[in-house]
Amino acid sequence: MSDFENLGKFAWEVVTSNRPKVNVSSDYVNAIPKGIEWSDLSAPAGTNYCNWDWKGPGLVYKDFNFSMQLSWTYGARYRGGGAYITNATVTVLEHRVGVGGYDVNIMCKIGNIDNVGTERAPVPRIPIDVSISWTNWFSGGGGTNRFEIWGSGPYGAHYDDDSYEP
Amino acid sequence: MADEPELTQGAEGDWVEYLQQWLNSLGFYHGSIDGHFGSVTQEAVAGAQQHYSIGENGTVGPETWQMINLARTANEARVEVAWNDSAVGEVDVPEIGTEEQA
Repeated sequence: MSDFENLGKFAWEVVTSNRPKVNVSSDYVNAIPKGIEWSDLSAPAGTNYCNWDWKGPGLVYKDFNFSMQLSWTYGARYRGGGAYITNATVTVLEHRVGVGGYDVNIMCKIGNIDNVGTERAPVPRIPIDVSISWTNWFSGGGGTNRFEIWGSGPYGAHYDDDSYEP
Repeated sequence: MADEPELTQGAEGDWVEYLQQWLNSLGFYHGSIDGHFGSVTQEAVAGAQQHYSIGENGTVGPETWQMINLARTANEARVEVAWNDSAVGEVDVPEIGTEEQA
């Protein structure tokens, strides 16, 4: 049961041309034991989240702001053991785009899910990259928040501002 | 950015000179950088406003200054991240089958 299955997506658009586009019923990732029925899993122990703001360029006034949240359920059991993630998703809490001809896009991509637990007590780890990119009349830029979330609850995160490729 | 004045034809001074420099660097103004907002400067302003679709009226207001500010900061533009609150619960991880043994 240390092989995981993702019944959600491996990539989805979160914001397209300044507008949030998340469909909460389909735009998610999960990590559950391969080949089991959903009914074999217990309810998750809870939902964790991490919030952040992405602020666009502009020396005094930031030209755009996206308030974002990554949330994930953790601690679902299979036959009393393991700690699985039944749902993880990225949502836009608030957003503002000022003048300047901005086109802002945000994407979510899922990496390979591995086991950071044991064979008998599996804990999936899901790498999630949430990337923002923008262009305006003159320029372009962006960056990526690189997350990893664990089925037992914890997460890691760092911002990579060198990830933008025009 | 909040201090830029509204400029119309007939204005003079440092802000006009600054405006002319940026209109020149953006390719819209080819006159002398003399700090005098004449008809050539006004045509350049209108040309830039038309090009960037920000209301072609020849008067330099907030949107036109915003455009110039964007041009000025284009090479140093970065997205900043500000980490906010989080909630992180955690569980122990028993072995599979624990339930049946209990």
